[in-house]
Amino acid sequence: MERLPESASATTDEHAAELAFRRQVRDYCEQELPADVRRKVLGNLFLTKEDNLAFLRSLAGRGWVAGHWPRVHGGAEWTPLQRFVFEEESMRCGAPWLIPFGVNYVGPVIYTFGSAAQKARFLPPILASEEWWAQGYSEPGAGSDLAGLKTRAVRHGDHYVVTGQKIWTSYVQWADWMFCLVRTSEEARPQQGISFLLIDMRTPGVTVRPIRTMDGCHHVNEVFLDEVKVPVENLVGEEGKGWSYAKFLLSNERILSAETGRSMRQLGHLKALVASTPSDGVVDGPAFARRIAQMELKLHALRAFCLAYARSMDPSQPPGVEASIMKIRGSELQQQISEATLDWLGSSAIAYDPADVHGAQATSPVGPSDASGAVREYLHGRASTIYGGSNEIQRNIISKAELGL
Amino acid sequence: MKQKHWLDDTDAALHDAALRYTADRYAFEARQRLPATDRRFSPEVWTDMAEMGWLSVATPEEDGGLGLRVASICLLSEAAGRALVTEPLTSAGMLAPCLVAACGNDAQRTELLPRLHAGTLRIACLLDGHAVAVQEGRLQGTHPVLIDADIAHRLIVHAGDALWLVDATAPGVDCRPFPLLDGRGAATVRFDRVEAVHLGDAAPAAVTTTLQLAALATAADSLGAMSAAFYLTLDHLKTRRQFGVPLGTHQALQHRAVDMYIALSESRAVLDLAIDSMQAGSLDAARDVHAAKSFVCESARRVTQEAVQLHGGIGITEEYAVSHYLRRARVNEQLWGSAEQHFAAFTASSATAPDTVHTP
Repeated sequence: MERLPESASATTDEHAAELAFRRQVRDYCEQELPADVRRKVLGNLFLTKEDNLAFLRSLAGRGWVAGHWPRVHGGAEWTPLQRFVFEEESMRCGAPWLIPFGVNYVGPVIYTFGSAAQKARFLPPILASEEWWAQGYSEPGAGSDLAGLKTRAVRHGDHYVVTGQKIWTSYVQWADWMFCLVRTSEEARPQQGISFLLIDMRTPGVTVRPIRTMDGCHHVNEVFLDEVKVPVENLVGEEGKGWSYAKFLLSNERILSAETGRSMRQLGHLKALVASTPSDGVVDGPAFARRIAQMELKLHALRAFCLAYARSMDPSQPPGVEASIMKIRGSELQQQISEATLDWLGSSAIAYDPADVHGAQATSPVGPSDASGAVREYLHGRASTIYGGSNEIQRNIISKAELGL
Repeated sequence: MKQKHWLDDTDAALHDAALRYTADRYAFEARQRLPATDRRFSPEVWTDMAEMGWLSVATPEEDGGLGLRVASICLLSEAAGRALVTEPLTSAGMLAPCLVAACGNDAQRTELLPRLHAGTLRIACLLDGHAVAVQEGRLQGTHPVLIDADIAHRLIVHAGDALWLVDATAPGVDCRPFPLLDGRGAATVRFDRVEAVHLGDAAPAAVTTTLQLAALATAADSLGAMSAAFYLTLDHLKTRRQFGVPLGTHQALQHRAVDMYIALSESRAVLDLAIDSMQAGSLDAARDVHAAKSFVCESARRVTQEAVQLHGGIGITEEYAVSHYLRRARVNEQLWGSAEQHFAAFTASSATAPDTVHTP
């Protein structure tokens, strides 16, 4: 209608800036992201350490390895909206999930709580992708109840002696360093007496044992720590304050967990599959089309929520329960899309040889060549509602923090 | 979260007044004691709403309104849903002025708009374009359920690619009123060779936008109803004790409350995005409005049903508000394009969205 008012120019400028940045990210994916890595991502294949490093190095040209870091530490000081747009658009266009332990997790902890010496020692190799980091949080007896961790660090002069066991440690098989939550004292509340230590993986007494997951890949490990000597200068912040640093870090983790870009890519992939390949599993085409449409609407809602949050959040404050909402809805949607993809693939999706997802090209015993990748995505995707604080824990958090129940 | 950028001082003033007025003068318990006809429509309330400017938020300033204010329309509609307002705010208060201002000729705007703004003239809007045909220059056809036609003085009818203005008591117009399940009202309207005048003389390109506004306002109304039902439920979970403990100490119920809260939070984001798109005249506006109507209405259905369940016995009673929210949400689903129709339209618009990345 001719009489709708003009929008305020500030918002038009904001939208234009967002679109322009989105285009830059797309250009990066098409021009600088190594094509072989992108092909693997689009085929849902397993990425090697080299693939991940090639991706990180290709980001360096634009100064995007740690775009959300402050400039003084080598970042680009992205706004939360820019960070969201980068994550979404890059993943939509075939960039890998940026494995977060160095850039997103320990980096911000070090520049926020660490000493000057720690900043100088650890931040540059993260930016240069020269040192790989892993996260030593969960233990066999401390999963959702992370504060129940038992790995002990006992101070002896100028070092700690660390003994215990970590589990579900992602990609520690590639790691030079592991940041670790350890118990430095027994207190009344389990959250007290936890400290944040940086452990050199080459230290004697550190042993890594792989855990193979149901997709036949090697993502996670057990780490045994047997009287590992850690210099006291590798303690971040204050002794006994590790829990608050971990919470800071976990809330950083959740803000990216909606992974709308991944869901946009996978849903696009499913629609292309439906258009190109008949299904021997799905009988009712219109019902399946409706299922896709419902996922489309859920994705629209999740994106609306994330964008509103990214546009309005204050990055100096820890994220609120919005982060838990994004984690819950993002992971649920991801699983629904991969389930539907397997349903469409029908009988060809019960064939699966892990070797097919470890190559440079998508191959499958039967069906479309990327069927194995879809199976891998489905199997690995079952983890998304468990890791990073299970969805049940997220609901507990919202119930307590927001609803006061 | 910080203030939404598209809310201005006028919105803030309208919002404050709406919250105060509905709390003071439109309290649920007090209204329950009114006779049914007064609960359907109160001339005093309608005049109050006119004086507060609620009937002027869809008319440009040069026509004596406050401007065509998408955000104001939605925040007043949300307040109306929360307070279970039965007066014809959307149809007579917003859509009719919007159509008259956009399409009416000078004489019609001069005659109708001041009365619409003052609340002395109520017009119901028949916009679906299929129910009524134009035969030999006269209106012919039936609309089975036209909201607010039970209390309308006149009707705006979309028929034969034009807009028509007709008196509700004109010869050939047969209006059979009935109540809706949430206390609002409607009528089956039959047109038998009815003579009507054009509202303006141009083809009504404005109908599409007005229908979008109607869908958005109704989604906002459902958001208000859903929000009120949710917070009643939360209160109930905290105060109602069984087995010696508050209901809300049980994790099974906590998680259901969280799922309601998430649906509410997502609905607000979807609605806000559509308001923003529509206000900015974005190319995505139509798609975002379809998404808002279908997503918010569907969420409101689930949340209000869950609210009744979590209240137990009291939840199904007439005397307690929570069942009224369920009924409000159910009626809203069917107004101005059903939630299902908007879902189909959203799906159709998604099919063309360029979101597929092919393997290089």
